[in-house]
Amino acid sequence: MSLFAAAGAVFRREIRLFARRKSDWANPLMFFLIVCSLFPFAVGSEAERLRTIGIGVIFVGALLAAMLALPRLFDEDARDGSLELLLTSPEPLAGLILARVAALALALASALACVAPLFALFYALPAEVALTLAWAVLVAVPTLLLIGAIAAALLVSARGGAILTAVLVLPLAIPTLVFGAGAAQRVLYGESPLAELALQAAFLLLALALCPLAASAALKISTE
Amino acid sequence: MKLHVQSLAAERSSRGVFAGLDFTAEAGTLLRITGANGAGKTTLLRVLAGLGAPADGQFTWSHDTALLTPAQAACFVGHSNAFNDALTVRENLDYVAALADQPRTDAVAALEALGVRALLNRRFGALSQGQKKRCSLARLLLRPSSAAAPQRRRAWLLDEPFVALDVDSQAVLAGLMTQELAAGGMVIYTSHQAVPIAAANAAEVAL
Amino acid sequence: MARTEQQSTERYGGRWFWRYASPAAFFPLAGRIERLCWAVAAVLGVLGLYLGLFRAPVDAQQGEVYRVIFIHVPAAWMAMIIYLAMAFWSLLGLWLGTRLSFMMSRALAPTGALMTLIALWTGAFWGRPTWGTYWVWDAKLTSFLILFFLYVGYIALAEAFDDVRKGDRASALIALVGAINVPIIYFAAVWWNSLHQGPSVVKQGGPSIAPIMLWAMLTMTFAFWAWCIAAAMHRVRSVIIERERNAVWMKPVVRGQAERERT
Repeated sequence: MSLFAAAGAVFRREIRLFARRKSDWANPLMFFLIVCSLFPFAVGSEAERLRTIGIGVIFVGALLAAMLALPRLFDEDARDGSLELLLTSPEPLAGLILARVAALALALASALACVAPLFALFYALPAEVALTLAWAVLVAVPTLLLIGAIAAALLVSARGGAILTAVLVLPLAIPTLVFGAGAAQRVLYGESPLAELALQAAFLLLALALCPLAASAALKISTE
Repeated sequence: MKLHVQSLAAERSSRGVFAGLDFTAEAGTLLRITGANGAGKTTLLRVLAGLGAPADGQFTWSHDTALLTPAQAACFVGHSNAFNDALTVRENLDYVAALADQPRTDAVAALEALGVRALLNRRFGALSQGQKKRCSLARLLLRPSSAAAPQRRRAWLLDEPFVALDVDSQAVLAGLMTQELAAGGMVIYTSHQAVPIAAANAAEVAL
Repeated sequence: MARTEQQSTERYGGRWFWRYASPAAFFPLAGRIERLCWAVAAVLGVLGLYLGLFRAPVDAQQGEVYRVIFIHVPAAWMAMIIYLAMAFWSLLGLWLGTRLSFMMSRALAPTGALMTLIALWTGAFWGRPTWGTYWVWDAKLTSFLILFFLYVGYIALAEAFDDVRKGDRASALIALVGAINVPIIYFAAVWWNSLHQGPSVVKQGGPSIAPIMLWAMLTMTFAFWAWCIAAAMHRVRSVIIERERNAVWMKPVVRGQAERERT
């Protein structure tokens, strides 16, 4: 029971911090909006061309925005010392990290998933593609954050952490990218996206099972 | 509560700082760790708190015959305050208590003992250095508000607790340490300031 | 560290391999393995290239270009095997806390990255005349590109820490995470490829593979094995010298090296 109490406290604290400092989730969101707006300038504004690249642009943009939020997981706590509270808690560290990632995922994934369909319309994609895309982003961003938690934990005190985190995490996020964007692509072709969405959900479950454990090992390595 | 340290060695950045350390501390002991800068005082406290692995040797925390993990046995207060600037003092203390498995604690009483009760609902980032330090030390005093669940006392591991405190606050903290020792607690601390602390059973470990 | 090694020795009853878990004992052995493997690699490499480039018949469809597979295929195999070996040593290191395991893991990484690069490079040279393009987004090629990123990430992470021990353990963890992900990434790449209807790889071999080609391939494979082992041993010796330079047993080694350089 006390693990739930402790994890609940971690979760509530993070949500409270997001409510108080809106820049923590608003800045990645702004980044996402701007990245998505850049592409038409680069490739031209014909509807047909935008429709071809739209899904990919929005999906990659969402993953990059989530990457930017990763240092938020542990860096501030390492600076003010409250990371020591997590590490010296009698409760399993993996559970506490999971609560923390869950809070970030709730704030960020829902925000990104809300905005993604809007951009799907900007990219001349039909409404049902937009909805599938929103759903796929909602699953992909937590997966990326879970994998990213490992790298963020390893690089808490290392130099050049932010860029190295991207180098380590983005290759590992390829499966969820393939299936998430693939699902939306299926809908665009008028097929059923269920197989891709199911596989994407399977990756999220796998990440849920393994990543908190790896991240807790990583945090112990980097703070020792 | 008992701490047993046997031929302990520790490293900082792959460099040995001390080795072959042996000592024992019982409940009611005030133990001061002394040594030059870089001798490994902070490293030792962190190892005892479970924040780092020893390079060699071992240490055990125990209560009667039961072995305890460092997380169960000790409460570590380091150089940093471990409070978040955007949260209020109370929110910070509640978080500390929940992580330490002590929900339903009396944050008000803890702050009162340190003379900073008025800061309960202030944002931590808006406080002065001295106020911050005092609020942060209140986490040592978090206890269940009711006597329903008797909690084991945890040993205090204090790394330079008197830094950033004015003379009055130093006296208050010294008084709290004396009370804790009298109540059967254990205090292990480092300090380069000579603050007198009344203790029946005081010892020193030189690194 | 010393404690864990000693404990492990007690736990496993000091078998022969524990003797070589100590860098001091392993250092001269690594030197002997290195010299042997350099020799094997040189002999087999020359023989394999001779068989492959001069003796094997010209391919009916692809002409002379196909001969690049005698480099390409062994390099691709080594790229995968070395990642597995790296993950194995990483696991051993995290599990038992043996210093040498981490050193092996770090010594293997650059060779693995090089093999991946050779496989990609020769693949591109083969693809230009065969497929008409240097690069296609085929599942195998893409997976290799990602494998290369994983190697680069591992090396970058290992170098990101000032504290050697932290770098060792951190990169070991990421090697394991990568090893779990490699099959998933490959699976995703295959699926992705079928979804987007990319060009499929021309099936190699078929029924009429000449025995001499097979021999050339086998010889080259063993040559690559020997070369990789020799390179890894050379690098692990360098790592040992760097990390143990202040150890007592290292003094005569370093002095001997200096004397040899003087004469």
